[in-house]
Amino acid sequence: MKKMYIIIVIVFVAIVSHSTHVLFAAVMNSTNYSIQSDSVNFGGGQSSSTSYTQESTFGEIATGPSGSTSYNLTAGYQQMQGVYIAMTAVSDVNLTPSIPSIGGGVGDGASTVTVTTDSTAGYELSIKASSSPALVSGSNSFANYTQVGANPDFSFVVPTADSEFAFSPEGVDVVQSFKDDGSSCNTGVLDTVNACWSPLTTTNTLISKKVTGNFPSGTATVLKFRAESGSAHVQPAGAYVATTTVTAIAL
Amino acid sequence: MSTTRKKIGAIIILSIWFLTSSFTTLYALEDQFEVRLTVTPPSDLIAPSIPTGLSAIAVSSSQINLAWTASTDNVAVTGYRIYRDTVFVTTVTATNFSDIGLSANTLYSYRVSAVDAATNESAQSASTSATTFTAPVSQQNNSGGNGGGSQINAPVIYDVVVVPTQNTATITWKTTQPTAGNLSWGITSSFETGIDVQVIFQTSHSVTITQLVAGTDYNFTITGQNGYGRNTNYTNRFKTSVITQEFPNPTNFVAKSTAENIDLTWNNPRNQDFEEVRIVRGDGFFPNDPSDGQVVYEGNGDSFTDSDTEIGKTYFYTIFARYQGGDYSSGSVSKARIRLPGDPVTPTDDGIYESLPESPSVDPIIEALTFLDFDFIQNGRKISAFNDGDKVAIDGNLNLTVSLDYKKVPEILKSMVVTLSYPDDPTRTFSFLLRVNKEKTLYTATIGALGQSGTYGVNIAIVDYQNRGMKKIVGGLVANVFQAYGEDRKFVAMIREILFNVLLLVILLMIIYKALKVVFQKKKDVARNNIHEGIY
Repeated sequence: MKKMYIIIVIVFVAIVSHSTHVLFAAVMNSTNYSIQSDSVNFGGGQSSSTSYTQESTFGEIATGPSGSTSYNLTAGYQQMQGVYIAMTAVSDVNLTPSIPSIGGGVGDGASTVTVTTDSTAGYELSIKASSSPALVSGSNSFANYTQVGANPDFSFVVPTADSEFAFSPEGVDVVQSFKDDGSSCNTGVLDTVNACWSPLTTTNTLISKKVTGNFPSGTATVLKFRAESGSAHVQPAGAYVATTTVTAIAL
Repeated sequence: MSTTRKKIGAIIILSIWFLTSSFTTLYALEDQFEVRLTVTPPSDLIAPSIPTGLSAIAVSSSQINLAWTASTDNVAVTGYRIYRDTVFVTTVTATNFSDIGLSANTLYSYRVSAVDAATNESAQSASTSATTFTAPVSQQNNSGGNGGGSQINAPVIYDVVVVPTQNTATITWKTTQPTAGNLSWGITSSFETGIDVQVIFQTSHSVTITQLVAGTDYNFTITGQNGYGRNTNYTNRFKTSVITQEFPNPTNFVAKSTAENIDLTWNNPRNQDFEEVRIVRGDGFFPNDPSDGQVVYEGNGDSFTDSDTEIGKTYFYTIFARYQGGDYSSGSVSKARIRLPGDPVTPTDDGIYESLPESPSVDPIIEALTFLDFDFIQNGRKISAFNDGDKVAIDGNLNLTVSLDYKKVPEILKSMVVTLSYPDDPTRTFSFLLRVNKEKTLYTATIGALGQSGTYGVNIAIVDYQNRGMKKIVGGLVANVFQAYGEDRKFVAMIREILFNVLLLVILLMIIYKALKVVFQKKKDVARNNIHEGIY
């Protein structure tokens, strides 16, 4: 058998630092490192540590994914692609001020996420909640925001006898449904501040999209959240939490 | 601090479709975070109950006293709002109120409401009224007011209680009728020190007098006047508490080296509870505690020779007096060193300071201390300093306590040593330690009577072990073995001294007289003999 040569490409180890998480076409990654490709053309076998397990290849033919709960591995001889996409970590959001149980009130908060990619096709950014309704405290909750129509509401309005929770994205890449003309959403080219509110559901809602690469500057999207308890509504006291996920995809 | 478990995962999803020998790869990133909101519990929306039983009683021509039954609330009643003739007057926390400054012979109506912390206010109580007295025609004649002056008894002061401390006294008393008046006090019967004026007519009175001198007798007088202008008074006296003085140390503790030994001498305290002394020896510095170091002597003698010594080594001794109950004095200190051959005959021995580091790096709080920060106490009373605060006049016949407030120095490892130099020989010194008292309020030490008149030099050394430095404070004690204060005692001493001198003079004159008489008698006899011999 023709002698195989070792080709090992380790692109970045411990490439993630602070709040920016960069993902190349990595064969394995964790919070501390990622390995872009791995090829062992002689010997081989299973190697492992407390945080990963990998199966190296013997030859250039065998390919396919492998993985664990914390990473996915794409292994195969010279199989890697170099698309770059990175997303800043999103800070937790505390809606302020607190809302009294009786008498009603409004709590607002925001956080920012920046997506950077060198993909010439751009990226998409989506948001979803882990539960429905999204903002919950035990068995108590704020209802997901009720839009008047199919499009996000330009103004956040909650009936006095209800309590509801919504989000609104802002940024140059927000999709058309969150753009406005100053009075309505999904029309016009404006990105009016604190406008175009939508419920946070358990299915991904596309909020930003770019059809070209934006490397290295990236593009920021501001995620605004608002909860309101109406003046005639009694909202049980408690610490309410909406576990939220944003997903960035390189196109 | 976020308690949220944030999972930041990066996922590569590789989808491979072996369609026409090609594949597509999807790259995605996910981040999870939390949106949080606090909904606060409902605030108190329930008002307290309405106050009941409101009464209004006029007690003078200018005051009406109100009282009512307490309200209840789901949380707590925080106060009562007083309305006079439908106008809000004030908010009080008690269930009574004295409305003063009113016009004489005027009808006033009152209502009261209760409030809670959430400012919920109850409805107002039922109205009640009272009419102030007519103004007294004359307050000097003990009559007048509402036309029945002569028939109104004068108030009586009773249940007078005085609770003195070292520097304060709380005097409470009651009166059979609501009265206003004065409390005056002073050391003499003129009550010259202070006065407290009470303008509210009431039956229970309490005044706390401050800035008194410990261990001092005070006279006080209470005068009260009811709403009809009739007066009452009460006079008595009290004494403020004396300052506790710790058990005295042995005095004149001296360690003196001989060729091979160290001789220790001291004077035991003259205190009936004194049992014995304990001498503890240390190598580096003076033991601070009876159990700190090597015990070299226990007993009630007044001297000891330490023979377990090495030549050329300095030994530090602390002597503690033990009293009934096992309490020890703070300790007196001395040190000595057996000279090496060739050492000067008179080695330099400057007392306790020789081995102490002197450094400007002592704690700044210690560095700021002055002689005035220390208290000098005799007979349970603080003695004021004079001469710009660096000298204190004391009675040489009494124990002396030196104290420093515990809070005046930082809680770091330290030693405080007071050294007295004698008036007739400043090179002769006597040192003692200040130790923390049981209550942890003072660093204090007591020594026995100095017994010698004159000005003693005072050197206070505070050793800061943490900063390896020492603070020295200098002052003086002006001791008089006859008196330290009190003109009467000075007069008695002076008379005693004069009488003593007169007596000595009389005795001397009598001796001289006798001597002269004998001399003259002898001369006379000689002359007489000469004459007699001449005749014969």
